[in-house]
Amino acid sequence: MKPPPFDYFAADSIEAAVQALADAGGDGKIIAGGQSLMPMLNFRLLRPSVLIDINRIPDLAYVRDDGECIRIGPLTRHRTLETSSLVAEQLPVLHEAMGYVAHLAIRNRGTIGGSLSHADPAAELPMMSLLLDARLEIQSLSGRRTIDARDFFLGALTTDLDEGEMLVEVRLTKLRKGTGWAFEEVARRSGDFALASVGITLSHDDGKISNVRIGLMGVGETPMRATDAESLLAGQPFSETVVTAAVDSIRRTVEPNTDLHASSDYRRHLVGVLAEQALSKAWQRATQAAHD
Amino acid sequence: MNILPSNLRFGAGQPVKRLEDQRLVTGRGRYIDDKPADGALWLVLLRSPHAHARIRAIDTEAARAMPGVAAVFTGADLVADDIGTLPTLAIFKRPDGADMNVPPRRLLAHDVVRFAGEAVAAVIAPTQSAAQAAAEAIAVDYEVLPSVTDPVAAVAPGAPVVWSGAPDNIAAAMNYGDAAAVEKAFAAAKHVVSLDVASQRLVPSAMEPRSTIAEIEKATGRLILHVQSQTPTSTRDLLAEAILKRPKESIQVRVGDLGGGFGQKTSLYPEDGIVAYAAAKLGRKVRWRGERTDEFVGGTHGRDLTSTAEFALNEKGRVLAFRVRSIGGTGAYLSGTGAIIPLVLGPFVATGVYDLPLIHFDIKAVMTNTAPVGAYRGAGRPEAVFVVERLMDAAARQLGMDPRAIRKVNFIKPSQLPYTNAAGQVYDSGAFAHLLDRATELADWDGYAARKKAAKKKGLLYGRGLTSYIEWTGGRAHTEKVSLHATAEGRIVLHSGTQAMGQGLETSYAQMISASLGVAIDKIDVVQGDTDLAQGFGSVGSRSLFVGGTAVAVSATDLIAKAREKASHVLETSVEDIDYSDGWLTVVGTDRRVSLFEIAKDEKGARLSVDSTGEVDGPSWPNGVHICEVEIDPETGVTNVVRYTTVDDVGVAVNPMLVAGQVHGGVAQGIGQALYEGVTYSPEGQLLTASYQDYCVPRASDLPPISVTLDDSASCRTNPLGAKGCGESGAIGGPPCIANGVMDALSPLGIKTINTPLSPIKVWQAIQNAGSSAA
Ligand SMILES: Cc1cc2nc3c(=O)[nH]c(=O)nc-3n(C[C@H](O)[C@H](O)[C@H](O)COP(=O)(O)OP(=O)(O)OC[C@H]3O[C@@H](n4cnc5c(N)ncnc54)[C@H](O)[C@@H]3O)c2cc1C
Repeated sequence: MKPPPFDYFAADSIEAAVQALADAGGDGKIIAGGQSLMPMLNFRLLRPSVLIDINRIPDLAYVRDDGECIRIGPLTRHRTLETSSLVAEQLPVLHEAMGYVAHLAIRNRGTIGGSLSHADPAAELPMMSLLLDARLEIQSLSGRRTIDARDFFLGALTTDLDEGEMLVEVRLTKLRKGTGWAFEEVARRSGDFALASVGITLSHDDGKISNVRIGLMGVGETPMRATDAESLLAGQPFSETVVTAAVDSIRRTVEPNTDLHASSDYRRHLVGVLAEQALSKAWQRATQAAHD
Repeated sequence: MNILPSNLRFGAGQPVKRLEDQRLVTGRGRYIDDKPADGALWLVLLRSPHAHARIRAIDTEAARAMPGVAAVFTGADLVADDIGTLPTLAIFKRPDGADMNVPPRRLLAHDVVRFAGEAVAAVIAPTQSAAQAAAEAIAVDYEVLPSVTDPVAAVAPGAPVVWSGAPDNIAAAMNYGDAAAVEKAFAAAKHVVSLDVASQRLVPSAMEPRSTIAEIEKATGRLILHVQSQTPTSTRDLLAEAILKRPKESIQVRVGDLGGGFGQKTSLYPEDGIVAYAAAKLGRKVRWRGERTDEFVGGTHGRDLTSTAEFALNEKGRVLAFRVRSIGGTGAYLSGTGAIIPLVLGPFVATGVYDLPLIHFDIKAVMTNTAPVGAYRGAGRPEAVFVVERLMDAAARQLGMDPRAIRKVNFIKPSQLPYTNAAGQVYDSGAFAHLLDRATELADWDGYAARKKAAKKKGLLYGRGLTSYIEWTGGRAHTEKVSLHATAEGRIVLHSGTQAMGQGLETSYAQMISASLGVAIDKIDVVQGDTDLAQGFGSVGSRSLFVGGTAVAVSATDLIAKAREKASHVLETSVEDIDYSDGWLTVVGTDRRVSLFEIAKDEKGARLSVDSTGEVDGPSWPNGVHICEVEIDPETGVTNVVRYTTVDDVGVAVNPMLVAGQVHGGVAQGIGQALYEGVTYSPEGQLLTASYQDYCVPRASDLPPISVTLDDSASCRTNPLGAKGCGESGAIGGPPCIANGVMDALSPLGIKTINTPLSPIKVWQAIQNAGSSAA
């Protein structure tokens, strides 16, 4: 359980980090919190020639209010997001989800940049980035680009990031005032990756559901939005019938894996149960807000 | 048993804080892996990737040629050097009456590998990574053979054969009781209740993985083995007699701090033997550091008992006969206790706290192509108590009885004590009905209906589990030796062959010595884990305090007696006129006195020393009642344990806080067994649960608050302390308590049983199946 030999480079700027990535010619790996990378090295699933440490780059860890959105630095620890009052106020669904990410020791080290780049299909932050319409800032030697979260996740542990690229900022869209939200998850043990999970935001618009977004995870190769279910719900009064239709649609569209802890059928069932619970919680919150 | 003076009353039992913790939690513990590099060579093992294969050839040439590699050993080298094999207690017979017949457990496989993870070669190099790289360069030519991992499948006709000496894979078998009489009772009984139950295989999960260092002492030629062992003396003896075939005095075993054991660190492991062999062969210091993976694939596992159990009962719920057929998986090789756990230790308590004279047990110990099974917290007793307690609840349900009522009908009555159970074991003491009454009250039994109603309102299923457990403790070793020393520097030093591994023995022993000698607790040093200083049976079977502690109490008495005699010379008076109190020896009625430590000055080595033996009359029988309440979300299958209450009879508790800690830890592991943990091998024999990502040990937040109450109304009668072993009981009461609670919650749906661990998917699946069969 020791990693294969590698070189180590402590970058002091984003420029130095992407230069080092380029120099490594595809063989380099950024290390942020190390909570996913180190286990993979120890199990020898990866053999990078050099680890590029971004922990010493100044000003990579922040949570900033930028009007429409919240800007988050890639080195921001999970624990910072969990305890940020800005997040709690503006993105309560994210605040709720952070409590489900691993356990405290790991949340103290793990970063948002690492979680998104690692792209575990059952990890909370990738799903949250879809739900909250994240825009991701990416930098390489050839400059910067921005990508929508929905185009970022390509497969299990696979993203649109190129070998020479570094994720340098995450922008999450603030929830509008009065948004109802919910986050539901079942894991084998507290702190484990989810067997299935659902995040929802929606508004109460004169008795009807509007602006509904449903994020799913643990039930496919990537986190996903349940767009069919969203369309079924949009503009409808909240009723058992539309909720059932949405849940059925979700169950039809997902193609979960079978592993030691859960079968595909169980996950498909579970994601529906969680969606139903989350919809009613989110609706309750939205209704409450509409009446306040 | 020793008779102690009446002033030694440890029953005053203070919850003294653990003396060892300051050291252990501030990083000043001394674990084997903390030892400095010291020019030691590193040993790395190459393990078999196959569950069953013939080794056609091993090519070590490339590995030997790698930089720094000092040696590469294979099974053939050890055979050539006449290195022995690890023994098992082979006292049993096979079903056909023939002697037990099992494959030799070699340090390195020779000709055949029988489980994935068995060591096939050892590489020794100056660094761990150099040894690792060389190990990867070894080419083994395997001919893969058919394998079997499930013990039930292994006894089916035509199953792959693990060892040719036992073509049916049955290593040994035992029968207890009167089959014909039991058959008759069943035929005539008003009710028959039958249940299939299994205690699945578990990984013991001590916090510190094993590691070993061996060196030859230049001056003496003695071999010093630093090893993680709960039983340092027998580890030494095994290494000397079975493996290296040298006098045991030529070996010193040293342990240091031990980060958990749970029974998994008893005896000697192949890794320890190879390290010792390599050190002797090369004349160099050699060390091996086990990774967590080594524990998963190469450490002994626990449990693995599959049973069908039946009660014949009358209309009042009285059990007339009890019949169990069990298959115990031993793994590919029999660990030292591999056969005795299912065949003997389980049956010792199979009838539990009930008066069940008419029994028939038929048990087979079956080999499979998996890691060997050994002791794990409870070793045999959790499996057996699981059977009788699950069956008792099933019977209550079938007969429509209160689970307490059916137990009370069948409890051994106080007037029947001492009670000889069906396996011939004698329970000296116990107050079973009393403990049940107390637990009922402490668990707020009567408030259950309201809690259930509240849960139902939330759409949850709610159930209650009850267990009355009993445990055999002592490890069949009823004496222990210690030496106790008063030093001229003013300290009291105890040498004991028992071994602390987290239980807090240092504290409880020091407490006892402090109370009996009247010396401040911080002046007392407890030294364990050095076979040159103390020898004994070690720490297994919850025996340390009641057997080892008896020796400690005796030694304090002996030391006082010796000091009085010495003082009588110094103070020139007769022994009868010397009074001992708080470290001083005083001539009665005068102010002439001399201190214990002054006397030590004139003794050999400036120490006044006694060697003492503690002896108890038999095992102790801790017992108790666990009650839990669980809620289950029928939609997700997730079970939550919401209340957990125990009343435990550990006799006299020297330190009640330590006892409560033992119960907490055991219950945590019990909840692990009931809800979370389980070893899974693929059909090809690969261990699928090979890390904590897939092998689910519960986290603290998965556990409920556990309320522990100690009840010593029936203290132990077979040792002078009145104490009963307490190290394993939580892990014995826990699993059936939780499983009974889950079954109680699910029984309205017509679900009779689900095998543990009761994972969300299994519970959900059972609910689905029940729904579809009801429809
Ligand atoms: C026991 C355990 C349980 C866990 N449970 C959960 C859980 O329930 N939910 C959950 O979401 N996560 C869980 N995790 C993962 C944890 O959240 C990780 O911290 C996270 O996935 C990765 O973050 P990191 O900063 O540690 O990344 P690292 O491990 O340092 O890196 C991960 C990957 O991302 C790359 N990378 C890192 N930063 C950047 C960047 N800025 N630009 C480009 N590439 C980058 C690295 O090169 C590497 O490939 C768990 C981890 C463990 C060990």
